[in-house]
Amino acid sequence: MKAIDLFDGITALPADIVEEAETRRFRKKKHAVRYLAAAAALALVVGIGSGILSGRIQTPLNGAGAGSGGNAGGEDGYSYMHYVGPVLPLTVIEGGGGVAAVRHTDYDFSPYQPRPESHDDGQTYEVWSSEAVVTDDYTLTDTTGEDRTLTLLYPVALTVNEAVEMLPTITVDGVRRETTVYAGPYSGGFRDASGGKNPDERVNLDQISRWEGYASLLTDGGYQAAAFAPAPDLNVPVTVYKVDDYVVAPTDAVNPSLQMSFHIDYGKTVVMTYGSNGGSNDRESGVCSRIVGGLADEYRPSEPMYIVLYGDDIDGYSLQGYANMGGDPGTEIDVRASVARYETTLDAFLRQVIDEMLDERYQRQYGSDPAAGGIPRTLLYRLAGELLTQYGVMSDDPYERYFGMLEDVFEAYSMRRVFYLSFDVTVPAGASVQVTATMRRDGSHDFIGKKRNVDGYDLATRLGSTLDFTEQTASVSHTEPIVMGENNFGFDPEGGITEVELDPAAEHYWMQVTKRR
Amino acid sequence: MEDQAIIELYFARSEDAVGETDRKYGAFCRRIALNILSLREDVEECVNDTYHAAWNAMPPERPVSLRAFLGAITRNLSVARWRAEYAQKRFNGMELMLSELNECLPARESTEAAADCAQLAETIAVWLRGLEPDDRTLFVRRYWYGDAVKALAKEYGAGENQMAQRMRRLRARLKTALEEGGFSV
Repeated sequence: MKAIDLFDGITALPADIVEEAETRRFRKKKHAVRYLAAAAALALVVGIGSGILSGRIQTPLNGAGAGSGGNAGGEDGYSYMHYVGPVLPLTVIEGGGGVAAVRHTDYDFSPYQPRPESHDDGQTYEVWSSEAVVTDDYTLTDTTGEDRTLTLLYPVALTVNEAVEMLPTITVDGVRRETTVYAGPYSGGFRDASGGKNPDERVNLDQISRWEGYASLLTDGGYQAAAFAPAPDLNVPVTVYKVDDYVVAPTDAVNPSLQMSFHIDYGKTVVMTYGSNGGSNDRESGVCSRIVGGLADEYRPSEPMYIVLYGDDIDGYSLQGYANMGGDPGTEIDVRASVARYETTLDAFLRQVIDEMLDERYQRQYGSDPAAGGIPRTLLYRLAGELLTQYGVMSDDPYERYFGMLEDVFEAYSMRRVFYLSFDVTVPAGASVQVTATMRRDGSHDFIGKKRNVDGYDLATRLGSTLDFTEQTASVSHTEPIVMGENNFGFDPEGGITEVELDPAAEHYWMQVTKRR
Repeated sequence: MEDQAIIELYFARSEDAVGETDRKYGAFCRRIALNILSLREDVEECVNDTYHAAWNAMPPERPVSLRAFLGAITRNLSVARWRAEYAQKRFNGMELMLSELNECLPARESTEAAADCAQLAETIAVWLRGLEPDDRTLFVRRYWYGDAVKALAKEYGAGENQMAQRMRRLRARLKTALEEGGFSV
């Protein structure tokens, strides 16, 4: 036997061992301290309950039917599996009349090649990405003979998770300018999980996958206005039940769980959870249950389960342990827990949840605080609140994708949207200022199919902009790592054409590149 | 999205399956591939190949754990690529892992059994299930996920040397278990 055989043997380990290693947290001292502190504060210790409930375990997703439509053909109609969106033009929201704009956009492909990167293990690796550095440069000239103060917006299509590292930097006449960051709502939609057979279903995310999606989104100014609308008001009272300090009697059960059950009027109470693994809603009987699993000693979750009630409070509840997550009769086991009831506001509870996630999980996964990338925490609260009130259970018409698990609000950070960087600029009478946005931009791509090795980059000439553009040009630079493919810019680096003038009548330019082998 | 729903998308031959897989498990697959291959270009290709393989496998395959299923595909594809292109290169994650696993190999004269992969996996699984949960997690995170010792030490709240020592003891215990299981070099 050789080491590689051992490696192969480890590869074939059972799935439960692999899963456990990824989901289980180490028992750190700080967790033990938190347990003690929490235990001291708990109001009530509850024994084994008796509420054995039937009812269907619900998930936010249903099965799927036939496959969905494939990619379209022409580039302007091409649907990428991962579409990052076009480079969008600068716009002005105040004082734009009488200002002429000349724009030049450069795609620098220097990063589009292997480069050294240091990792946590102290070693240096070669890394590669589809990244280009885009410099979007504007010369704004006053044509009225008076000093002009403009409030400018630079829009960029990103997710929060991307924006942490890829938010543009803005300079005015070469000097870095601080900006205020706003963000529009989720730019995509939802669809069914059965290839269009159930058009009313809103189960899967349907993120914008082609240029036309942004063209439609940004044309009338409504989306931009929504970015500046007041944040959703979550300052409403909620009642919280915190379930913690699980004690499981000796058992052979693989996945001991605890189910909390209660009666509600579904028309008067909205049930949300944090730290729960599932549950059931029986609207006929009014019985509602929520469950937390993995309570075996070595799997015990380090976090409590929270039941958050908006609307009428409950009269009482029962707790019942089960040998697994099914909650089936005959699988009852002895599980005890502490339950503490308190009142707060949904806004305060959500902020607590988000702060905890950002301070612990987010930094563990991404290694940085979003605030360090220029995304203020108030904006993160807002985006989570928007998801909850527009699509989630706090909406008048909740989408099937969301079941009331507050963990869902973190999906807001992987939803693509348009960010707006706002800043003021004064253009002296008869003179010009240079505004430059510099950003890293990944290519759009397909994961499978004939274009899987192609990266797409595109640009909108005037979409959503109220500036008066008198000239637009574009260039590519440091093209050594790439092979230029089809494009409507007119680029041909091999033939020496790396800078082109854009037709103001054309709204959209695109190019496809592959790596040079 | 729940794993079961993603699997249903594969069975429905919906292209959303790949997108949802990438959303949920893209970073996970990249981490595994990067820990073996080190070169991002190859990592991306391996991850795309993983999706392609998953697309071809489901249906008929219906994995119990989508995470483990995708991870195993990524490991196999990454190792295949490493074997083809990287075996001569130094300082990549795979080489380091293999050098550590070398310590687990039983002495030649101890047994006669052949290294059957399934039997080997079963023996390692039995051994792992007998470990303290933290030790089991550390071993799997190091040798299945390929996470660096330094990163594990940081997450565990221990020093790097302390963690390396702990991993060394685990390898020694695995070696004993393999010898008792009848495996040979």
